[in-house]
Amino acid sequence: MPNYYFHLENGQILLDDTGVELRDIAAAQIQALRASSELFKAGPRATATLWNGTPWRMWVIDKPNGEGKTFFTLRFSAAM
Amino acid sequence: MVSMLTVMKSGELIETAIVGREGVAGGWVAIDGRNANTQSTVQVEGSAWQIPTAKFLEIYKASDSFQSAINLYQGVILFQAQQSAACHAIHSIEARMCRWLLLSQDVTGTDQIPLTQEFLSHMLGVQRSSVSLCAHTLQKTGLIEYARGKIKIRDRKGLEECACECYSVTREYIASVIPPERRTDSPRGVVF
Repeated sequence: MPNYYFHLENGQILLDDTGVELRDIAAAQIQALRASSELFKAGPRATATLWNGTPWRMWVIDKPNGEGKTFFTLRFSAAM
Repeated sequence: MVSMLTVMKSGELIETAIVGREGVAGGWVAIDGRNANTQSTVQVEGSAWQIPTAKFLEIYKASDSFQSAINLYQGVILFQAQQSAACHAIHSIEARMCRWLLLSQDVTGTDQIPLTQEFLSHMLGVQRSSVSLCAHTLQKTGLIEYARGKIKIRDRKGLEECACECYSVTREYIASVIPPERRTDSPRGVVF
């Protein structure tokens, strides 16, 4: 089963160096939605950059270091 | 320190209670003769007494004081489980992480805790990306120092302010039911 790495950018890049072994891309999509929806439960300080106008993205690739083949990207932004 | 973990069929798990030197893991057997539905995992090493089930049940039936001590502690575990259920549903991940770090410091008595993101994500029942985001935020605000596999607490008071009420509520409950001599000898007088 392939490894999927869930990286996050929220004004700063937080790389996932461990990854998750998942059956296929559909499983990775479910995982990404779950992980990203959870991010918004992190707390007001952790989500401050979103409201300050910094767009967030979670991108899922096949390598731990941020390089590699991108499977898909989720983007979040707030318009005031 | 022993974590009581509830494990799902998928293998996903979450911590629902913590047992320290004031308590007992496996005391559930006194209730219905069966093993608890949780998995007990030692998170921080320490010494403990072990007793075979049959012998445990024999003493439980024979001694009123033993029985009431065990029952009281099962109450502590139930208290923690109830508090955790509400906490998981309502409180922010950052607040829960602060709570967990404070508990770990209470148990280990050190401000340097060996913890991977993977481990913390299991304890809090959240994805690693959430752990990464919150650890990063706590580091930026000077509460912790986070390096690969290690968290150093820099500002305990700040963590207490950020932790959800569940930390002090649980602490106070245990302090009210367990006599001080059975609690930890940590200078903070904390009981996990």
